[in-house]
Amino acid sequence: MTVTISMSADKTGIKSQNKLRKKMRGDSLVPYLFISPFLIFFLGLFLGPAFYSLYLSFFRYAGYGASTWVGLGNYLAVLEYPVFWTEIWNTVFYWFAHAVPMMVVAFGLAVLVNSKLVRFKNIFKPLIFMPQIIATVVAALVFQNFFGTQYGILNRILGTEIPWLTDMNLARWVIVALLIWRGLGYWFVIFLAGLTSINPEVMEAATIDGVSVWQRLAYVTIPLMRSSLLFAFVVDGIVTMRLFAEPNVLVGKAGALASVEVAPVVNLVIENIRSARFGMAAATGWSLFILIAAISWFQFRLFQQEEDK
Amino acid sequence: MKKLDKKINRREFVRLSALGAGAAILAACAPKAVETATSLPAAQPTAVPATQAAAASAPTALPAATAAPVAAQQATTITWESWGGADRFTPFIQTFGKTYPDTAKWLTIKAVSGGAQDADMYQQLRVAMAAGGEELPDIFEANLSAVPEFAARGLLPDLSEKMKPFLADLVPGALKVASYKGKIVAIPSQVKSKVWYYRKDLFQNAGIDPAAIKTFDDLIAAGKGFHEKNPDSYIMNLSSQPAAYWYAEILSTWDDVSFADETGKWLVKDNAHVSTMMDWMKQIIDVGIAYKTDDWSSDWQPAVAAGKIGSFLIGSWMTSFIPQFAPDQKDKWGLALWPDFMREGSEAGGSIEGISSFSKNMDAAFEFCSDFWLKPEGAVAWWQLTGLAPVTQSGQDALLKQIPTMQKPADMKDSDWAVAPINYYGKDFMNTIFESMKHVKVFPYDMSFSAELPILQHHTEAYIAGKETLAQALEGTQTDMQSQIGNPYKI
Repeated sequence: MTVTISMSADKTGIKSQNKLRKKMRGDSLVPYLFISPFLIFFLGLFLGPAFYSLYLSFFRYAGYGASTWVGLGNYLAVLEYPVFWTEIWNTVFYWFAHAVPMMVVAFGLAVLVNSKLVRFKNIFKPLIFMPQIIATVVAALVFQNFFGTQYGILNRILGTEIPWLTDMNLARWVIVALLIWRGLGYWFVIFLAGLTSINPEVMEAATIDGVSVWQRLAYVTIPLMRSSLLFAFVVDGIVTMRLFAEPNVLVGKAGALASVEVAPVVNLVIENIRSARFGMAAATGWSLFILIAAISWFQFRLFQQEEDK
Repeated sequence: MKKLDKKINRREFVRLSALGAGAAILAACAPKAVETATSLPAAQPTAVPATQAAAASAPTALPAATAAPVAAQQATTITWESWGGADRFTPFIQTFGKTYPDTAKWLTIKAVSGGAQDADMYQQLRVAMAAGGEELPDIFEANLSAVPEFAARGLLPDLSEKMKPFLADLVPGALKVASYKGKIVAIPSQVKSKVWYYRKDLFQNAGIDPAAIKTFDDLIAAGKGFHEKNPDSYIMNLSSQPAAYWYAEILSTWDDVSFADETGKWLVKDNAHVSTMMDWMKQIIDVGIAYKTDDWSSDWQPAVAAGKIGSFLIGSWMTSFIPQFAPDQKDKWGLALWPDFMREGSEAGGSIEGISSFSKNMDAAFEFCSDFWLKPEGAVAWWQLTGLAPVTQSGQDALLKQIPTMQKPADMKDSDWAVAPINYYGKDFMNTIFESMKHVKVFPYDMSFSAELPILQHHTEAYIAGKETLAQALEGTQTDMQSQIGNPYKI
């Protein structure tokens, strides 16, 4: 009888263990079910096409009809094309020339607005953010009219005929100005959010210790804002490497792409697609991806070194 | 007691899903053949040796359009695709219905937008071809530069038989625009001839007669004299980044200009005409006879309105734009042929209406196109809508008869009628445009012109800016075309 009871107990125990196992398996699957819509779209609409484009980059292919294996031919053609390097240089220039002043000004504005010096914060915040809500193309068209040579508003005010948009050495700086003007508000908001998340007691402690405003900024605020700054520089770098609208709308005419002297590297991808050279477009795109990855890695390393110090 | 089964590792789950989905997508999305009745090249992306690839992608025989009369009177819907928004088509379709009410009883035309520009539409056509051709429109508009690619790839059928009744009536330029390798592959809808629009008052003030300008040196001298007598104006505008159509306008002057031969051998750097083109552009800018603003820049239109630009050496499509730019300069603008030394040629040749070889309504599509562009009533109606000159002699004759007695349409505002071309330029302006169409020559586009042009532009601009010598610009153009395009007769 004891055996019977213990056998029953064993069966019950095994059943409940199986139930528990099933429940735990189900529980562990549930999170994946929740993220599966994203995963499906990510794989189907991003990762899958990305790998397909990598595959295409080894072919000469018009998007339809026959394709011809060319191996690394497309990559070699891109690397030996002077226009590719000119446009890479343009893109890196736009990144560097706009990112540094934009981040400095955005950070400075965030520090000011967050401080007790500035009143009416709720007026300044939306004002500074406003350029961000204007569509890129609209902003570029407004800048185009503002910087026109004979009939531009700026030249009318100054009484000059400076070829802001026809002299490419000047046009690139107008593009930088547009990037700064549009991007400032977004990073201001990001930095402001980061600053408000700093524990005020840390600041109070620094003040009590007799630290000056500038020392507090340099040795307390900025180190505590490191993650926000890293995020800002990395994301802004990625976005700038994919720049397209601002230079082409500002300097291009009647839908034509901008001149090579100011064109970003994405223009080469677009030109290849338009002329039915998908293999070349894919090779250019993947070359750009490698560049973006390298720049992002460099920025991570830079911030890591600063943190280690 | 046994251990519980190991939980599914998160990393493994994601890895397996990615591999599985990626494999499925790659298998599903491999380039596939576009199946047609003709021998289009197979599209499996296998490692094809170069010689086989050349044979596989060589232009194939064009599919012949059937001439058998189908039941064209049955209710039929055809799709018509162009760029610029489907709303643009509405007045065209309505006008077609009014001009051919009997046809409109059974034929419905559905507009399809091909995107903002022609390049966008061509991309849509390529995608539709890659997807098997089912989504292709019955009719699509295209510029001449796109015809070689689509004709070689089998999208444009041979319409030579269908076009026979209309051949004698086509103006010479129209036949060139619609032809590919000796076959007629489309219906010509526009011939873009070269027209010189000039300010009559400013030219008279400077003592310049457009017809007297025969050579490039004459043009330079006239430009200097024009600016001397009209200090606030220039004879033309041209910037250090000339508009893309300048290149075809000048290069099409000559018969023997081709960037490469069909074997893929590039001929740019040794072609005297290409160097002449680059040199002319640079001289016009360096000498200072041109107002330095680009076509379509924000300064261009105000400059026209302010009288800064005394003339345009441009395509015939400019007819409708000058009245919009400068409505108060009515009666001041005249039309002439381009100077003798570059009178021949065209601005990008023209446009065609292509009937897709995948269309299930080819006869209905051809009837629509021939009614609208090849018959005089349709051609006049088309002109009234778009200002584009008829491509047939009968259409031109019918238009010339109607112009003297044309009245303001009931639905047109008085202000718009005042600046309608026949009132703005004078009722004889079409004579010059028809005359210019007799001088149309077509640049021998290959399948890769859209890739060649940016390279040519880049080095020409570098030469104009003094960053390259002429030899460097020519060498650079050829080297880059060679490395980036390979054989331009194979995409």
